Amino acid sequence: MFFYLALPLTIAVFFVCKYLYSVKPWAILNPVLLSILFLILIHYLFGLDYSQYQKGTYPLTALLEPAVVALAVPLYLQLHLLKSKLNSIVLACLLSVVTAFSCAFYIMPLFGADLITSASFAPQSVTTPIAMAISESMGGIVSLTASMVIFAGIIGSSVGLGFLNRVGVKDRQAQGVAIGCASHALGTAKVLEVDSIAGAFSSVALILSAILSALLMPLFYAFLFS
Amino acid sequence: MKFIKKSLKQLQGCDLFTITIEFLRGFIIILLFLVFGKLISAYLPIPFPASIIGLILLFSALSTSLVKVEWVMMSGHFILKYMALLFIPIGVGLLNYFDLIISHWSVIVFSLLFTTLFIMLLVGHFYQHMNKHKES
Repeated sequence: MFFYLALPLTIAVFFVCKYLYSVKPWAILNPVLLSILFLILIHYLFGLDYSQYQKGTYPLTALLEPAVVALAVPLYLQLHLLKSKLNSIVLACLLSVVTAFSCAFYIMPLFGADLITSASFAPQSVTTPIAMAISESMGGIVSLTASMVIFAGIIGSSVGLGFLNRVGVKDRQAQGVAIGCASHALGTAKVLEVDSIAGAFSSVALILSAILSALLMPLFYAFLFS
Repeated sequence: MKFIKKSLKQLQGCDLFTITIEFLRGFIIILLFLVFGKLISAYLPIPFPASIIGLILLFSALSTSLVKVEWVMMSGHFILKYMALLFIPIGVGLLNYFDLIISHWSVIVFSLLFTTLFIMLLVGHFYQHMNKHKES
């Protein structure tokens, strides 16, 4: 029974949460986060079986891969706006990938992370569908990664611009690249509200850093930890 | 951005049939590139997400005008607009990991705050430096 309800329920919850967010646009009311919490609550209240839910919502999960391929469209549209800066952006994204990897695998173990949690942390700044693929290939916990990615996005979109101004990154392009690398699509949406050119830098940085993470992180992992 | 708005506006005048065909064409092209990605990833010696290979292939096809951007514009826009919905079922899977979250909550919060802000700080300063260097 629940198998058939899972998909319509998820879509309904998502659109209700989206509506809530449009009324009260606070970063913490992020529609995805709210929907996840609400659906977990429903599972607990009614004692539902997650594997049934997982099977019922398979059509949504299956669309994640085409969604990654579709990212080629905005990348193509934005890239020729900023072709002259491409080298700097790629280098900045490389730096971001190496930093994220070292933080997860070398700093977090000092605070009690094991190899599995580190593998789940490493792609936290990457856009969700790609982050999940990376986490899976390194043996991380995909659900944990997906949720952390959303929180990383919320941090970037709520305090990102204020933080960058405070630490002396005033260049609009640099702000766009930094937020695109650290807080993917959620951060980029915020940058777009403020400045459309910085927004273009942010969306190119988010896609490039995701591609580079997918190329490099599993390789680093294979060399260093297995 | 203007380009997207313009082509979406053009569609508003069209009937439902044209829009459906337009949408299906883009979606089939995207799926086709995903299949190419899967084929290539099956022959790669290292595990690598097929979707990323598909992304890179589609981007190359767009750049070489093998695929016209108008063909995939509408479907691409539609999928990405509702992409957030696709993460929810995976996120709900968190309910299987409550023990892990309770035992690791402090490092999870620390990793989120520290890594996110640290990346912004480093990347922001790095790019700002490169950009200044280039202009002067």
